[in-house]
Amino acid sequence: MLKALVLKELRETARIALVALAAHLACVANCAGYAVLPFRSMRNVDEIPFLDGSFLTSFCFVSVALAAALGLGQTVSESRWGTWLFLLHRPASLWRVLAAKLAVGAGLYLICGLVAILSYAAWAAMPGKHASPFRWWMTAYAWEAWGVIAVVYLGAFLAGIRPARWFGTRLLPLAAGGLLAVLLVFLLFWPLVGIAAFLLVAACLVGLIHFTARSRDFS
Amino acid sequence: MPDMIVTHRLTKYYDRRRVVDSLDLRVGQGLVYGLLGRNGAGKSTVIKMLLGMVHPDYGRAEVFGEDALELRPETRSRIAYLAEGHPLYRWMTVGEAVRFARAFYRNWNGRLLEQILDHFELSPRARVRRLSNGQRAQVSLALAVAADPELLILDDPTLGLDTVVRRDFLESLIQIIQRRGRTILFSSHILGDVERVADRIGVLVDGVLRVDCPTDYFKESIRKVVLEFDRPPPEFPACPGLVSNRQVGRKRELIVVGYGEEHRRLAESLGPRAVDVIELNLEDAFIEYTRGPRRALPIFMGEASDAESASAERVA
Repeated sequence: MLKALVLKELRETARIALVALAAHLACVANCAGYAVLPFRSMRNVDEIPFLDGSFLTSFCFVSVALAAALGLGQTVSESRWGTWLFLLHRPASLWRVLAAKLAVGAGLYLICGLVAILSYAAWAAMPGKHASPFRWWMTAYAWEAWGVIAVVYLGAFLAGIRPARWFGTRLLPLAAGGLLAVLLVFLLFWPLVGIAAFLLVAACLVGLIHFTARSRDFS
Repeated sequence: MPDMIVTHRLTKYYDRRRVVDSLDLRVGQGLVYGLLGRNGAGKSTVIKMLLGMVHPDYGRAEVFGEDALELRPETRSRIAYLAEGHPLYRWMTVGEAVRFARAFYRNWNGRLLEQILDHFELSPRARVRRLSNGQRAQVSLALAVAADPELLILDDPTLGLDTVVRRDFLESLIQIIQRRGRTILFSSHILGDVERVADRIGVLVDGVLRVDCPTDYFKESIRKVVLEFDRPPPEFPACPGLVSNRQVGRKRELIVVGYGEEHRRLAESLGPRAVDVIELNLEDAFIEYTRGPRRALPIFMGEASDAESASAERVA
């Protein structure tokens, strides 16, 4: 049963994830000086990988877009085609249905980001590619961004599952997810506090998603 | 006969409009129950509340003795639900939809499913998005029946189907009913369909269950009485059982529930030239009952066997 749910979610979201992965890799290539995108290569020879900001900017942009597209795609498409009624009547608990969705969505988001960071790090670790040494601590900001943007995914999922009258109020949880992600970045100056806050925020959002799905009408 | 579905004062508001009003409904085991009503009467909302998809504002619904909002997965596996419009994942093929649905059920009758798909000439390779409304209805029915449910809840299953497909769909439904004596609750506004399969009907008017009785009893209870006059027709006095009363030229047309001696006496007291009492088919009875400026009068009845005694007591 869980396998069927996971496979269904994978089939529905694979296209979004593939597009995002391609965008991530294109940005990595651009940052590495290979002009695969039609605009000018973002890399200058004197820039230090991960610390100069160019990778982080493109990484955050693609990650936020991916997180929002995954969260909204997994929920709004069910509403649009009326398939919530089909899905939720399957003999599986609501929690299991939501868990399968969230696991696949978050998993795809994390894998795409992981591939992007590791590819850029692999390039940066190659000798002779840039005029600076490479140390793993240089990737810390990228990992932080990778983690906190997961909150945007949960916000987007909540926005899609939450009934609302118009787009302004519907997108509130997505905006809140973005705001929380920014706050978490600042909190990560104190790593333990930041991680604890991240886990708390993520748990609250998952709880809210479950509560919303339980209490809303699927009509 | 145990009740599969019980609702107690089930009420739902959308905004400030009461779409379902204090619904008390019982559907016994083995019964085919047709829930009728005009568009917006609250049929779909009732069905969604029975399945826990919509939360009532007041009252409760029970299916198999469990609160509809807390149905366990094991209980859900005993209920098949065909939602209005037959929603299925459009990107799936019929075969993928079958594999997806099959993963949730222990008692999956794959052979029966194949027979139904063969009967409807549906290829497992066909994409759901390329199927017509009728074919999607057929796939939904096949998926529902293959799970071997004890209770089928169908929300306007023939909506949007052409006459031939509709007939085919209903024939299949009748076969399913005959196979195991399953309980079926279905909503519809196509009265011919209901007349063919339903043992008992409920009529919702503006969210209120105004009729709950055997199908034949409903038809037999409603009469159209036409009084013809040589002069402008006089007003017909208010009396129990009078549903509607309108003037058409020199005629006065009445719709009466439980037409009897008192109505005949009142009609004759007006001195008409002729009195014509017309029997109605289910469709005409439904139309006459549910339209009109006045609130329709309720028709309730317990078991079919106490038809006569109950009618006298419960007609308002």
